[in-house]
Amino acid sequence: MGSLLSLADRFDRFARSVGKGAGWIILPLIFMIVFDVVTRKVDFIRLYFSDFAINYGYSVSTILQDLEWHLHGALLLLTFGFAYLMNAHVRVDIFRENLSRRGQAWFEFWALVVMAIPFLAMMLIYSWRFVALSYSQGEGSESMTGIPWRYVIKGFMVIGFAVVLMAALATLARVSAYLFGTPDQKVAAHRSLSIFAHEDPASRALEEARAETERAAHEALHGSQGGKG
Amino acid sequence: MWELIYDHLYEFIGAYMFLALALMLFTGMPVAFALGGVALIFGLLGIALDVLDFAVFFQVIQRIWGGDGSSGAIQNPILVSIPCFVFMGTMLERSRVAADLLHILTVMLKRVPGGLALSVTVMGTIMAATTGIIGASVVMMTLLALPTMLKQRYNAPLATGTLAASATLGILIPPSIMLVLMANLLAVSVGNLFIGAIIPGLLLSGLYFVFIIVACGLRPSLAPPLPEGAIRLRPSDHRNTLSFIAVSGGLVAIAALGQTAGLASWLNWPLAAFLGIFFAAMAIGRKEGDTLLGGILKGFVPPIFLIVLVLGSIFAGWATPTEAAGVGAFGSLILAAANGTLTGTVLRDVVHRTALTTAMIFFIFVGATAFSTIFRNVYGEDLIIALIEWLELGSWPLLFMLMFAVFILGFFFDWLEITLIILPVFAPVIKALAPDFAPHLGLDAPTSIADRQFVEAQVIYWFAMLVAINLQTSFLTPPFGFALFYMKGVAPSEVKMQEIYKGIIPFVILQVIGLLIVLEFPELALWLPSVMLE
Repeated sequence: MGSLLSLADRFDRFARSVGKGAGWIILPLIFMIVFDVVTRKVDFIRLYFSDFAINYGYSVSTILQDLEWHLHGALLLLTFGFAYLMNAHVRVDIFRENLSRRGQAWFEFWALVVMAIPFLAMMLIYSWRFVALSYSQGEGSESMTGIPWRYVIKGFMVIGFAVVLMAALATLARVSAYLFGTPDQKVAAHRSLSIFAHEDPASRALEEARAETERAAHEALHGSQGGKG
Repeated sequence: MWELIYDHLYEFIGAYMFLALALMLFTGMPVAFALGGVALIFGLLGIALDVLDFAVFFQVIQRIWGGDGSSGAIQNPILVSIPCFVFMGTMLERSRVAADLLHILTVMLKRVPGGLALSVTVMGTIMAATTGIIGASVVMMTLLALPTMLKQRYNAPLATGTLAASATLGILIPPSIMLVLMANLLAVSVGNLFIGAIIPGLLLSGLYFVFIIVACGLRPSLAPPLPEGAIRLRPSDHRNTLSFIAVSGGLVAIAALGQTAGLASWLNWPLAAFLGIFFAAMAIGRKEGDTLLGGILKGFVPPIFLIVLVLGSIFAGWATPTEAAGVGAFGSLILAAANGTLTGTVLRDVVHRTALTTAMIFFIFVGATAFSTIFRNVYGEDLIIALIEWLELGSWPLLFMLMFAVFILGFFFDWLEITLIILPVFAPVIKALAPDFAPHLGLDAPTSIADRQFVEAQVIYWFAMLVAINLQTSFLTPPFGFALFYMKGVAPSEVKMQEIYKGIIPFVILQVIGLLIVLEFPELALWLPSVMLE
């Protein structure tokens, strides 16, 4: 269980840094749109670009417009996992918020095992086939003058779903540690989980204090031979 | 026996799918997981029953991807506007724009009964025209105005109700990400839907305004007036007023001259003058500080700048909604920089929150696409149409039933789930009934196919607007109104949840009245687009 938790931490760190990094894509996206709008209104730049299209076979405006949705796609696909770890995905909390924290953890456990992980695995497998098909066809832009290598951006689908899957697995490991682990692991898992409803600092501190007492009681009962791994 | 079960499942698998989704949603797992998991399980069930084969999962991926003018999430130039609008809204909430606006409105409305509540409504309306997202704007407006209102001994239900209703106007008044998603799902023009939403949005804010004036006029104890001298402004410096007028006048004159002197192709004169006046206003507003002139310049110029930039460029046909979103996001950066609030920490926080909101929206999009693809392939939509035919309702009772269904769903779900799951199911039904509604919209019954398409498009715009108003209400309806929860999270602790619930009731009634008005007078939604897009 301990090594599982450290693996979860590694997955978590990876998914988080991918998501945080990908978030910055919004800035080039904005600048690119502004650049595209402005240059299309300014005559001499437009003429220069149309010469470019004649000479090299690529249209700057089409490339920019393709690039806009390429960036958009990369941005959203790479942030799915990060958002799950931050508990930013919408939940219908009507009944869940009345459950104990342990009950919520059980719900999350089954949701991950039955629904989320199979679904994400399916998405991963089929998006891989999707990319493979695109690669074998040598797919490019529909407009011929846009960005070629369509399979590159399609590949982000595979990466994106792999990252969410990692976030889901990390959460599964932590939820399991919270449910089945030793008191120590329970505290560690609870600290790194953010799936619970009503997780305000006060109730979290209370919970940690309770776990601490539980651990002390556990040690008093079983002696301090250390965790069972 | 087995054959019977098999036949039953074969026929009603779509119904069970919907039922399973409802159950799974209420377990409180992330909505996208519930949608995707149900899609996978019923996809496999469909394969076991020989309704589907494994190619359907490939189709799911293709539909999530988009392309070929379809409504996917990724290869879809329209939806690029969503991250940009989210960034714009989040950035604006971190700049002081709203605070400055509220300040000057309070000064101007201090003699009117319920002046503070009215200021909040006006601020909500103006800010709504600059942001398209909700969660953060409820938090921001509550933090900004609620403590002051309570200190003035405003009735707490009135104060919280006004704040919640006004802050959620942003989802309806363009630019709004909800309208972008709706246009995408209904395959209609975003610009048209944006323009159509202006009058209904203003109508609702007008209803709030009238309600507050009447309520506070009848019972002054609800909203005690500000004491004399509560807000004291320094007198304006007349030289600054004069120099602002001189600069603006000069710029307008130069622009007019440039435009007529045959230099129009060289520079976009009106735009240049507009930008010049904006920067002059910002500079003079900062120099003036806390005076009437400074307040007006700092309060009104930034939002007007953004509204002109975003809505103006869409209406004038200079930019597509996506480009307008990018330009608006850039404008919000400029505003923050001009206000001196653009620091590294703020930028990092805004980028971070934009990423989370975008991911949240599109992850549900992914799940909903998986769900609706499988649902369609197990003939779930045919099942719904059969159910509606079996009910034998006329077209009007059916429309009322759909509206009522959306309203009730709004008690439990968010606009996002309702839009993405329900709209694709309801829209074809309404489209099929379009000729029945034609006389109500002032159109002749269609005779040719082209005619019919026009009528269908008009009916869909009207229907979209009704759903949009209805969905704004979903933020406000207890027990599960998002706006109310966000508000409770940041309100001072003496405000009880019961008071928030009590305060929202009149505004929910106003929403229903607004909905009925647009239902009765479709011109409110259809007239402006028909004029603007001639």
